[in-house]
Amino acid sequence: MDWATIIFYLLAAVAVLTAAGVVFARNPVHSAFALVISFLNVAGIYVLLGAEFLAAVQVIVYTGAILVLFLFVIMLVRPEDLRELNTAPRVQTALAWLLGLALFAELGLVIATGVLTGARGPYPPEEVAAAGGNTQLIGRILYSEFLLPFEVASLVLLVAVVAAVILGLPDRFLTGERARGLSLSLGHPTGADRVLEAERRGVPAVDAPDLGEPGTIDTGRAPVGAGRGR
Amino acid sequence: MLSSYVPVLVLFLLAAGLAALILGLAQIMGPRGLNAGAEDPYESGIVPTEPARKRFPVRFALVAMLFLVFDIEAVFFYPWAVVFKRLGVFGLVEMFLFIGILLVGYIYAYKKGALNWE
Repeated sequence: MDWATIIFYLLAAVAVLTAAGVVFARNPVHSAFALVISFLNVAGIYVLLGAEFLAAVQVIVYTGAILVLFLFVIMLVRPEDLRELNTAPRVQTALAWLLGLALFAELGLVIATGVLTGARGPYPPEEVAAAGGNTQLIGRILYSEFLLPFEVASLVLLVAVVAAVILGLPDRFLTGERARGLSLSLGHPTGADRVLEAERRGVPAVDAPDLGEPGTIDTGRAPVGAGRGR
Repeated sequence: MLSSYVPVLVLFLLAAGLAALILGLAQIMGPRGLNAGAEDPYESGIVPTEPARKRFPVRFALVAMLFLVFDIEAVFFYPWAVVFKRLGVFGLVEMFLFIGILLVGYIYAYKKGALNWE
């Protein structure tokens, strides 16, 4: 076995083990950190395959940004609710095991019997090397041949910005009654911070006055969706 | 090709070695047994009054989502930068178009006050 094979098996083993950790960890924060390690090991496998750009994107976007988003979402949820995370109905657990094992058997069968080498694409390794590397070739093709999809990607990202603002911004920052009706604000008419502070003081959430700094509040006892539907 | 990653491997080994050294030294030289307060987050600090795991304002999620979008925008710059000379003025124009469309999103978020932490 050469070094590349040994490194591959190391990376793959850690990636699979931590992926299992994501599923089996009882604490969702532990799940998220296991996912970080899994992503980093997958990035290592990309490097082994000579896809340096993909590896960099894996680290920058997945471990850098998406995992941060995951952690923030975990932080938004009440800790008491999270305890019920691993208590799925028995039928669901059985079905999940059944389908998972079926998928495992299918994949194992394909790997054991099938030919896993696909058709040769237009950019074999020699072509990539001639272009000066993976990143250079992606740049050359993406910004000439795939110009339109690239510009469309910016539109997709624009939609994501608008959606994030509509979803994440508390209602009071939007102007006009119509804007108020359009806003979802994740179920919090004035933002979770204000609702919870109001509840703590025994004031109805709807009439919550402006209460200064957010983020220092939360008793963790407020019902879900408190103050919804004004 | 893989041999160019030997410095990265050395870095990983150094990082792992340093972590092992610090933990090992703490194991060997550190005091044994737990005294009262050793399990507190800040053993010699302020006494905690409530659990650390609380709900955070939805603002954090908004910031994370906006960061994600502009992070992906930045990712598109890397392959562009390495072939910038080859693409010439055409490449410059198309990237400015890309940035321009996303600038609309930035201005929208800015005007809505999504970037203010009040």
